[in-house]
Amino acid sequence: MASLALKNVTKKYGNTVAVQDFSLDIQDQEFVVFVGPSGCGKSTTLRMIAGLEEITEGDVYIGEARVNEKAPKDRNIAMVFQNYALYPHMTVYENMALGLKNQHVNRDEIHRRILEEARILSLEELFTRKPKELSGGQRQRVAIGRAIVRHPSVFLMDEPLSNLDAKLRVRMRAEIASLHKKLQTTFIYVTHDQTEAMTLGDRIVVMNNRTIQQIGTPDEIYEQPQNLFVAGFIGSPAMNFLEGTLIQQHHTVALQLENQALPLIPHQGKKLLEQVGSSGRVICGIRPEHLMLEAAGVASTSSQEQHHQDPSRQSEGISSSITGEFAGLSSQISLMENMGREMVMHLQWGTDRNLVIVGNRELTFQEGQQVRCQINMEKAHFFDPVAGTRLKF
Amino acid sequence: MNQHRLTGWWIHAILMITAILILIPFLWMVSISLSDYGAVFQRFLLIFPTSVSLEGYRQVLENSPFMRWFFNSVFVAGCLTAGQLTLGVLAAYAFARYRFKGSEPLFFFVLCTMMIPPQAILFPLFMVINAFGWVNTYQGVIVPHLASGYAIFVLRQFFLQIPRELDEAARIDGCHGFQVLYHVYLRSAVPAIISVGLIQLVRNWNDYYWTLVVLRDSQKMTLPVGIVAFRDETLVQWVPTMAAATLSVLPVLVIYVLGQRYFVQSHVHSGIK
Repeated sequence: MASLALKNVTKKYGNTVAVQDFSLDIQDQEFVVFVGPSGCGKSTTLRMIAGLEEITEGDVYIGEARVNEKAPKDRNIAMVFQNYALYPHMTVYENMALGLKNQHVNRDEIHRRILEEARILSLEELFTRKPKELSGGQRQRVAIGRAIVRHPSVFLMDEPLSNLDAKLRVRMRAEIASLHKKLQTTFIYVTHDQTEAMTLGDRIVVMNNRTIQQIGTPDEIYEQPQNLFVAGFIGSPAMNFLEGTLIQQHHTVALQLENQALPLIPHQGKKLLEQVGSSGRVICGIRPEHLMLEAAGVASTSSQEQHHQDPSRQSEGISSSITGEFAGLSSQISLMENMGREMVMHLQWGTDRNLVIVGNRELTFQEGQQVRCQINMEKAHFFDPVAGTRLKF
Repeated sequence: MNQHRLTGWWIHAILMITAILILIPFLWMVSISLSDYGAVFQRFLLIFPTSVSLEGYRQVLENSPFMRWFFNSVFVAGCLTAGQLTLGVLAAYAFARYRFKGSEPLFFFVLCTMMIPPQAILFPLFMVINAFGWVNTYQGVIVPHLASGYAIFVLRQFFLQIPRELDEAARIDGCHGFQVLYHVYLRSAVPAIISVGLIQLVRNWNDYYWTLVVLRDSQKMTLPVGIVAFRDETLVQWVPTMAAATLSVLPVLVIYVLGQRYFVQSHVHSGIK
């Protein structure tokens, strides 16, 4: 068990920067997830922690010790690779034993530890098999077993579930979460899958373009994305973005979107006006579950919103107006995707602009239908369109 | 489907013709070695001997230091193959996994050694071993050919196919450079190493020119050079020559048959998705 710190870590390959000025403190026993698109530098960062890549600038500390120059074997870490990296000519038992043999642990102790960890992962039956005789899930469990049997201070996992099918991935995700609880060790997990990041991480580090975009708990990342990238990357379906201009409308402030205006909640408008420049341009971000559809006499919304809405509002036709925290936008349903549990609807509004809404699948809308999309402005996020940063209100 | 079968039939026909063309000289050699002297000139192509005689084999084993040449060949070919594999594995590992200054030009140089015909460097090489005083010695035969460009090239290509993650997993598991080489590369590359070893062994066993140039003493000769002793300026003794050739081919043939499955066997990807 150990804390871990990265201080201004930079990785360059020649003139190409792979990771820029990465700083992070990880507490002992914390589960930290690095998430971001391909090529953002998350795996490179993990490999620098492992000692598989040299650090160009900055320092890595495991516990109190600076480990920049230490070989991987001297860092007391274990790593699970995306493609398992099991030694093909060794049995499951031999795969698990190699690390301990290299540490000169005696044979009885090796056997005891392998049995103990194999019990946690249900690997006892597989001891004599070679990797080619195992299924994907079994190989993954062996790879994890090989890592935990060494009792390392830090576990590093590089997209360990990305080669598994969807069903197995969900199961293994739960197993990794319970493993973390059992082992009470520091975990650093790299993924491009935001669901894994949200479900597993105590904290999430969102990366893009070789730099950290935001560090926070899953709730912080989801509820208060610090920039447009984080807002768009976390959440599925992704957050909707509406770019417009803030205008003064009587005693309130509204967001002018082409020929429609969305009135803002009073406390939003005032503070936003103070932050935007003279152009008044802002990007409003709204998650699909915070939108509500309204047709003649019928309302649809996400299950969360449906519980909170005022029944008296359901058939109201709101035109560029505000009722409570909701503001309406005329649009047309262009595509409906039945997801089983819910319906994902794609709306078209203005000149070829799109919105995605997650709705209750029992409600009867049809493709091509004209609807009003009600936006829960209380849940709206605002961003500077130039810097991409979050505007506070 | 029918066209597929037809294509398969043609391929099989071509393969069979090729196999027959390759087998005929071999069968011819065995047939002559089992014939008596007169029968050799009776027909042009003697695939099956009219009468079987072991006289040629008796003559080879009794009238020449055949067994001495045989053990000389085992020693020379064995040392050469072992050396070529050892240096080949080490060099291939370095070229495949280590980035060092000048590695690419150096590898190009290794490739160049495969492109130059051995006869072209026969004389300069002889000058070198002569300067060392190694003429008519086994080190003169062995040392100049201990590094094989072919072995380095083939093993490097094979090592490059081994996923780097295996290498990294071994390093995290506490292996140092040579342990990584052993646990990951050598054990994964057994089929490749055996197939390269077999090819090199056959080449080394059959090497004629270099041994002929270096060795003078009849007792030091290897089989390919020794076999020529059955010929002089006026007469080629075909039956003992072919008997000696058949005997010299047999060990290689046995090793080749035993090891041939490794040519197609490869299991390195089984630990990787």
